[in-house]
Amino acid sequence: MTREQIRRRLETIFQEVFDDAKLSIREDMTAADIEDWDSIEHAYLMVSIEASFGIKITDSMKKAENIGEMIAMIEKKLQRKWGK
Amino acid sequence: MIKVLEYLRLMERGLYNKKKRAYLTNTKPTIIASNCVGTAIYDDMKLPVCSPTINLHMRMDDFVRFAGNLEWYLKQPLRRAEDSTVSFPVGMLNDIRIYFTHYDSWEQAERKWRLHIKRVDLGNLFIMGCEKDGCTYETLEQFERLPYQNKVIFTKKEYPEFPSSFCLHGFDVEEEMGNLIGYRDGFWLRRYIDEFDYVSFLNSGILRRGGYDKRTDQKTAGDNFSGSLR
Repeated sequence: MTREQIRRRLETIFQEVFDDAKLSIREDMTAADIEDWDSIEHAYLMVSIEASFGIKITDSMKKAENIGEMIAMIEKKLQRKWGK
Repeated sequence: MIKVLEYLRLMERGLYNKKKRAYLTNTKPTIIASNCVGTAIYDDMKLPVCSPTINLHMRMDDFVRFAGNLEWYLKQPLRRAEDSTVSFPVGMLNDIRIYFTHYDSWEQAERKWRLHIKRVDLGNLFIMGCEKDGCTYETLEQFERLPYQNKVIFTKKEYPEFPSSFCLHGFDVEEEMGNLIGYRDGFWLRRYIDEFDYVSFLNSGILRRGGYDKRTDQKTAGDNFSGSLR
């Protein structure tokens, strides 16, 4: 899965979690850029990412500073999963 | 030195929650609660919030009506209510008054309500009430009659006649129960609600004691999550 494919799938997850079909994500975006992205929604977001990508989210990933870091971590996890 | 001790307490609290989480098998429950108890459980267990009753409270008579006809109420429009006696947003869900205690604005409260309603799983429901906010003996009776298998109402004294009641110690001399998510006196950080083994409740609907136990000198450390049956 390419970085762009991960970004697009992540965008769909964000749209579903925050119930906003027009929500568009950028790699430099942080919780401060999305109105409802607080600690309460973060847990739901993490569970949704786990389910969608079939990966286990670790504590370090939960602390990703922005969406770019999140994508990089997912990419790494997927590479490990598929043995690349 | 004080900072070190404070750090130690916080670290221990984190480990305590982590230990509880390890026993939790139901990872997406919908907790419908009359106050912030549900929010604290979601937060401590790092669970995804699948309930609209987050960061808010209702009077217990309202809550029993709400829970008694949950599906219908969840489809009702939430309307803003004026209340100059409180500093937080208040809403009306048909005839149910909802106090959005921990929201900064009505817009935020309304948006979050809509967002969280979509995550409700009626097949994985857990109802939590509390003997406060206008709860009378009659309210306890009504709560007991609610058509749910997984329900609990926290009380300040024992009510053997109500199988869904669970006495949380520490409020015996109070007029009504206080803040259940507040921490008890003592070095280790234990909430009042930690006396209830909510992990077993969420896993299998069982009501039993968790860490705190009056009979064992208010034990706080090394809590036993398998606990003993009530």
